[in-house]
Formats: sequence, C-alpha cells, structure tokens
Amino acid sequence: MKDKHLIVPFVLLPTLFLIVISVYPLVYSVVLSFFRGLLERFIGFRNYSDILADSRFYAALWVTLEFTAITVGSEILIGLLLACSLALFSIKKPSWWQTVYIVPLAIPPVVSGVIWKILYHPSFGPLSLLGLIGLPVPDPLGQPNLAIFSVSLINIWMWTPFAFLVFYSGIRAIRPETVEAALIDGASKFQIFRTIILPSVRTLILVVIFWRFTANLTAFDEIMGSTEGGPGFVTTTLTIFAYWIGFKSWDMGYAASASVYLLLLVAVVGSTLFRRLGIVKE
Amino acid sequence: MKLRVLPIYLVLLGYAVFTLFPVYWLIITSLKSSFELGIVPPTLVPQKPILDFYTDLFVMRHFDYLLRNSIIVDLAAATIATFIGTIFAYGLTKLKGLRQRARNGILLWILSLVMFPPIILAFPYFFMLSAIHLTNNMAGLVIVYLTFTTPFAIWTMKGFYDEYSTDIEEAAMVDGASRLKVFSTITIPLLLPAIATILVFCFVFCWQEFLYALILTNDYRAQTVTVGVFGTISKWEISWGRIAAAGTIASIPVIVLFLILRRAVVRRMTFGVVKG
Repeated sequence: MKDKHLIVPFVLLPTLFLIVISVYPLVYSVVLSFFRGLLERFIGFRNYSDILADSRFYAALWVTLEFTAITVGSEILIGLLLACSLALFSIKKPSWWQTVYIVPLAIPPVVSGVIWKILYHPSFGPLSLLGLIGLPVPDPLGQPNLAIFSVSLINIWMWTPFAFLVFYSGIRAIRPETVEAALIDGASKFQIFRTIILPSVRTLILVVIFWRFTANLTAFDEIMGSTEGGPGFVTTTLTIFAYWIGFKSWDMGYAASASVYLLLLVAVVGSTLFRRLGIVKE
Repeated sequence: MKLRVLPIYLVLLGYAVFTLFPVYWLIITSLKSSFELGIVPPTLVPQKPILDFYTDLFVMRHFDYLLRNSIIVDLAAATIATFIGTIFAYGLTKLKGLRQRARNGILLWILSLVMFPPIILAFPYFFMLSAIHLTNNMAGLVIVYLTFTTPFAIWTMKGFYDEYSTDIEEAAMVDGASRLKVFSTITIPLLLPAIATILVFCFVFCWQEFLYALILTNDYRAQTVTVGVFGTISKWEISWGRIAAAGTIASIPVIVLFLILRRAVVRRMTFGVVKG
C-alpha cells in the first residue's frame, strides 16, 4: 500500500495522456459522423442510415472481408508449413533462413505495394518473360477479376514471416524428448504433427488470426501503393473507401460514419477472438 | 535420411526466392538507365548500373528533407512512447495499491488501442491539428504517431516486466530503498536492453507509417519518406527508375537495421503475442 503516492505519475498521468491523444479524437470522430460534410450541418444518424443504402459501402465491405480471409488463411498455412519445415527436420543453419524470411517485415507496407506494382507490370516486370515463351502475359493489377488476389499476395508476402516466427517459436518450445520418444515408439511424422505439434500451436494459430485479422481488416498502405483501390473499385477496402470520401470528396461526416462501422467490425471480430484467447490473465 | 530432407530444402529455398526476388527487382530497377528500362523483356542484371535516379530524388524531390523529417519525427515519437511505456507498464504490473480489476481493465483498453483502425483518427486529427496550426508540421505528426506507438510500448513493456522477477527490488526495499529509487537505479538499468528494443521497434513502425503522413502533411517541410515514395507515382509520366530508387531509399535502412538486430527481431517481433 506504500506505493499509493506513485499511482499518480505512474498510472494516472499516462492514462490521461492516452485519453487526450486517443479517446478524445475517437469521440470527436463519432461527433463528426453526425454532421454533413466538414461539420456543416447536424443530421443525427442520417450518415449511418445513408451508408447502409450505399452500394459502394457494401462493395468495400465485401472487398475487405475477401481480402482478409484470403490473406489470413494463406499466411497461416504458409507460415505453418515453413515453421514445421525448419523446426522438425535437421536443416542446416536455421538462423540463416530466418534472416532471409524477415526481410519483408522491414519494408514499409506502402513500398511493398510499390515493389509489387513494378513486379506485376506486364511489360517492365518479370512477367513479360512469359511473352517470350509464347504465353499470354497477365496484367495482375489491371484485370478486375485478378486484382483482389494480386493485392492479397502483396499482404501475404509482407506478413507470412510474422506467422512463421510465431509458429516457429511455438514449435521450438516443444521439448525434443517428446518428439524423440514418439519416434522411438514408431510414430510417423504425420502422427507427430497431429498429436504433438498441432495441439501446441492451436493457441498460436488463434493468436495469429487475432492480430492479422484485426490488422488486415484495416488494410490501406499496400493497396494505395499498388492499385489505389482500382481498377474501378475492386480493391477498395473500407479504409480506402473512407479515405476517398473524407479527403477527396471532403464529406468527412460520411467518411467518419464509414470508419465507425469499420471500428465496430474490428471490435466484434477482435473481442470474439480475444475471448477465446484470454491474452490478459483474468 | 539425407534424401528425404531434400524436398524440405526445396520448400525453404522456394520461399526464400519468393521473399528476396521482389527486393532484388526493386534494387536493379533503380539502377538501370531509362534506356535499359525500356528494353522488353527486361534485363535481369543491370548492364550499366547508374545512380541518376537517386541524385534526381535528392536534387528534384527533396529526399534529403524527407529523410531528415522521418528521422526527427520517428525518433521523437519513439522516445516519448518508450518513456511513457516504461513508466506506465511498471505502474500497471509492479505497483501495489491498484485493484486487479482496474489493472486488467486498463490493459484491455490499451490492447484495444493497439488494434483500432487508424483511419478513424485521421478525420479528427485533421481538424484538431488545423485548429492549432500543426498540419504539415513535424510536431503534429509526432502527436499522431504517439497514438499507436504508446500503446504498443506499454503492452510490450508489460511483457518484459512480467518476466522480470521482483526479488531484487523487494530485497532492496527491505534494505530501506524507496520504490522510486529501486525503479530508477535497479529496474531500469537491468531492463535497458528491452527498453532499447522497444525504442527501435517504435522507430520502425513510425518509419513505415503512411496513412497519417499522407493526410496530415503536404510538402517537403514535414512530409516523410513513405509519402515521398508514394509521390513518385505520377499518373502523367511514370518513371519506374525513380519510383524504384525511392522505394529502395525507404527500405534499405530498415532492412539493414533488421539484419543487424536479427536476434531481437526474431525473438521480439512476436512479443506480447506468444506470451500474454
């Protein structure tokens, strides 16, 4: 109880600081969403109801969900594959592979978008080599049916290393004796994977889903760097939609209400996953 | 046994190529001449590497200013966030006299601040910073960057404190040292490597930030490197060499940093994540 006097500088002041820089603007954003344009006219919940009748909003919502599902699913599968490959077999120099794999994590996401914009270019990128051997050269960012997969691949390239690192550290934490004992008892690699590896990474899979799902629902940078939401609106996620409405059409009230819907989406997904995780010890 | 490992090596190698090839392509594109860039199909190795696009960025596009702005803004935000994180997380994990429910409530709230969509703060900050004349201003950007670096620093620092045993602290306090003295002369020096790691990560997150910088700055006096890279993409005349050079400038410093700090990245990229 003798720490009472320290509660003010160590807990109260930092809490106040966070309230001022984060909670106050958040409330401000909600206030904005009750107005038309730039705080021009109070219209209550009109923005919220208008947006529910706006087909562009549903399109952006669908793009966001599709993008998130593709990316998170792939990142988990590939990350698990890499982590198992590196941890379960006698691979030389595992640290060397790790070093290579973390490179995309260093690159600013908008630059990753730009990198792939160059790579995907049908005549300046390496894809043009396909033309040399007589195959049709695709335009991954220009073809509407391909674009969503192409921008998803950028995110997969960026964030699979994260899933890999989480799974790898989890698998490495399994005591080798456990695996050896199973091997001596004649268990196959697949049985070992199913009965020893999978149970121990099950929580970690949820952890990766939790972080990547909530983050990828708000994707912006890599898409701006590559397609800027196009062609048409096929890669316009909710964040990009809100950005265009707010800072290009200057209807911030409408954009703010779109971002409040996005916040609700992230909050619902986040808290559902979170409850299954119990990250904070109760 | 050797032969059975071969397919595994192929998987690992395949993914390594997938990871590195885009970076390789970025760098060679930045080194080719405009003439060479026009060759279809593209050359896989630059025939006569030149640095023209880099000099162009510094002479014509203020990349010297943008680098300076990024370094100043990111260092400031990272330092303040780490400072607050170190103090706040200590208060939340080690101080007595705080109810468990309040403690968990605050921690959950901080976690929710790590997760929420950045765009939602872009609108109010656009107004608020205009009102106090801090748009297109580095100080304004620092404030906004604190909204995501501070919760991250608190959350990760909490992880370090959880692992850190309080025995030494308690022994020193039994000997009559005050809590504050113990914190500043024992705990902080012991956790200095952890604090440095958080500082570096906060710096990197700010360096990579794009959305806020795009919205809240509009010329070289406050723009950051990521906005500079985006600015090289022009609808009217596309210069792939210039775009690639800008991308390289924005990426190489952090790649080098990550390679130097590989161990910390591998161990700590996942922190606060693997362990609660």
